[in-house]
Amino acid sequence: MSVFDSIEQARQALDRHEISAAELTEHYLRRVQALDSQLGCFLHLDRQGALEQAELIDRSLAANRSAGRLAGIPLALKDILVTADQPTTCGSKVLEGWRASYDATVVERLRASGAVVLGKLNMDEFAMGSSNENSAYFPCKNPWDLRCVPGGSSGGSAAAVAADFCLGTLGTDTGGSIRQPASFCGVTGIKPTYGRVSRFGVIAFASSLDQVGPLARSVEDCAELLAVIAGHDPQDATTIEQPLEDYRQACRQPISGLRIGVPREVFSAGADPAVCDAVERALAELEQAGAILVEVGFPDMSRAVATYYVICTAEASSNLARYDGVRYGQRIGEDDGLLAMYQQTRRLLGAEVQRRILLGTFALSAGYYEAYYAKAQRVRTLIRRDFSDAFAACDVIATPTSPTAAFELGEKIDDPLQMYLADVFTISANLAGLPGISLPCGFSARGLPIGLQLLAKPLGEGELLRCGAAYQRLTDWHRRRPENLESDGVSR
Amino acid sequence: MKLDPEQCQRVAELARIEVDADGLVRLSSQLGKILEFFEQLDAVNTEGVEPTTSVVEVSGATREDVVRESALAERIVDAAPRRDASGHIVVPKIIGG
Repeated sequence: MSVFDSIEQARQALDRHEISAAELTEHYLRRVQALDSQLGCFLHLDRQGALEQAELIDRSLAANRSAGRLAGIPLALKDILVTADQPTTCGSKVLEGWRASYDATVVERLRASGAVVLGKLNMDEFAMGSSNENSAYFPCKNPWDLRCVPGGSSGGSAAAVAADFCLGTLGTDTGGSIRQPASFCGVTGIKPTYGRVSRFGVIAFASSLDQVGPLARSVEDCAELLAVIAGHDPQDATTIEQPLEDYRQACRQPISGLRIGVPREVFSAGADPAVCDAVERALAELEQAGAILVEVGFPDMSRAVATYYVICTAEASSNLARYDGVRYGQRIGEDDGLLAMYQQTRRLLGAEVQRRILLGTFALSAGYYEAYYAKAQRVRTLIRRDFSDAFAACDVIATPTSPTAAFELGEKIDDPLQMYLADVFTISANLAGLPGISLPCGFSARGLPIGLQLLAKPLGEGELLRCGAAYQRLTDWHRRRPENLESDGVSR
Repeated sequence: MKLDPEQCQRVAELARIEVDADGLVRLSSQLGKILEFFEQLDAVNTEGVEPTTSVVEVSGATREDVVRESALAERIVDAAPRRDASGHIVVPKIIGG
């Protein structure tokens, strides 16, 4: 079978009965089974469930019944989204063996639109990390270079798209966890506006920052997935009621007159020269296509990283209090009494998760709350104001997604602070609740992908899609594929 | 700020995480460095600035109080590490234990 470059292409082949959903699903399952031992994208592969779902879709398609816009399209999910028919571990040993009682709203919506869910994808434990090395099971690797990390925390979601293991995935983004791995793996990823996509059934890390979004081969494919998962959900009081715009339509809008804000001083000071060059070339191409570049300011990045890590660790310490052996997953030490059970069960949490819980507990503790947590919440207000000022002069803001291309496994694992600084460009969007997208825009000298990040005002997903799709019509970076993965007899 | 292993132990107790002596030494140095990094926020003037608790306005959402069938409660109890036959989650003794 030949390769499908997009969801739309597979959609047409399915609708014309050139291929069945079962054949398509089998094709991707075979690829995963042949190649994923090199990469480690999947924590759980649901061969039987996926094929059954595909056969069900085939019966609808054969009868020419409308089976949904994603009918028969094989996708996979970050293992932070709860599923009733598959295990959910959130990359943690503490949830090993646990089975959720229901599907997350986004999973329900994908299934209702006919998507075939192949399985659950690797991630940093509880979404805490920027390299996927914090997975309690095994690290995921970058399909472009197996010595390198795929980014994190949605590393499995990005690597699975890059490796052609499925046509799209869902990830979550608390401080860059969709955009940074998308950048490292050369795929497209969107973090929607906070409140645009339901978090019901998404295992909570930092509730004021977490957001679900799609990763796929192109802006148009992301738009397709976003249109299915986005929208108000009565089960999540933070979701926005405003109707969705037509995301597919947004992808077709021309960009002449679109104002792109460029905080040039900030990014040239913080990013590798190769990254800056690639981003500058992308901006020049967009300008040539009719966009207008304007200089804008950007929130102080070091300050944003500090603000982010105070807030996310505080919220995490509260959210993760529930992993105490009472209601979920593993329980250890109950014969020694309640306190011992709590303490011993929580030893199953990995080093980074423990570190963040302790930081957050400290930041919320008596005597320190004002100086750390309340202070960070005030600085957060200032960061939102910085963005409001910048967006007075532009429609989108462009920066690199990450200051560097993918780094090697082990390179930053012993220095948590260095790892945190890998998120400098992505973090402020979460603090302000803004939507962002990462687009492939070139390669480093070593052949690793580089990402362009665009940010927009709240509910400005349409502007991101408009600009991103226009960029992908002008360039072919998003069509490149890693070549070192193929083995004999495994077709794409 | 610096965090000595004793302070670190106190925080670990609050968080109900058991950390051994070596772990406390390692963690107090790592956490100390991160807390020092956080201290740059002290220099930011936030006089009169309201804290952001949420970036979306969450007002009390109301709906009709309608009775619906749901088997969820049962399934949630089923997923707990230990439960009894009558559908309760079993935990070690809480008082006087």
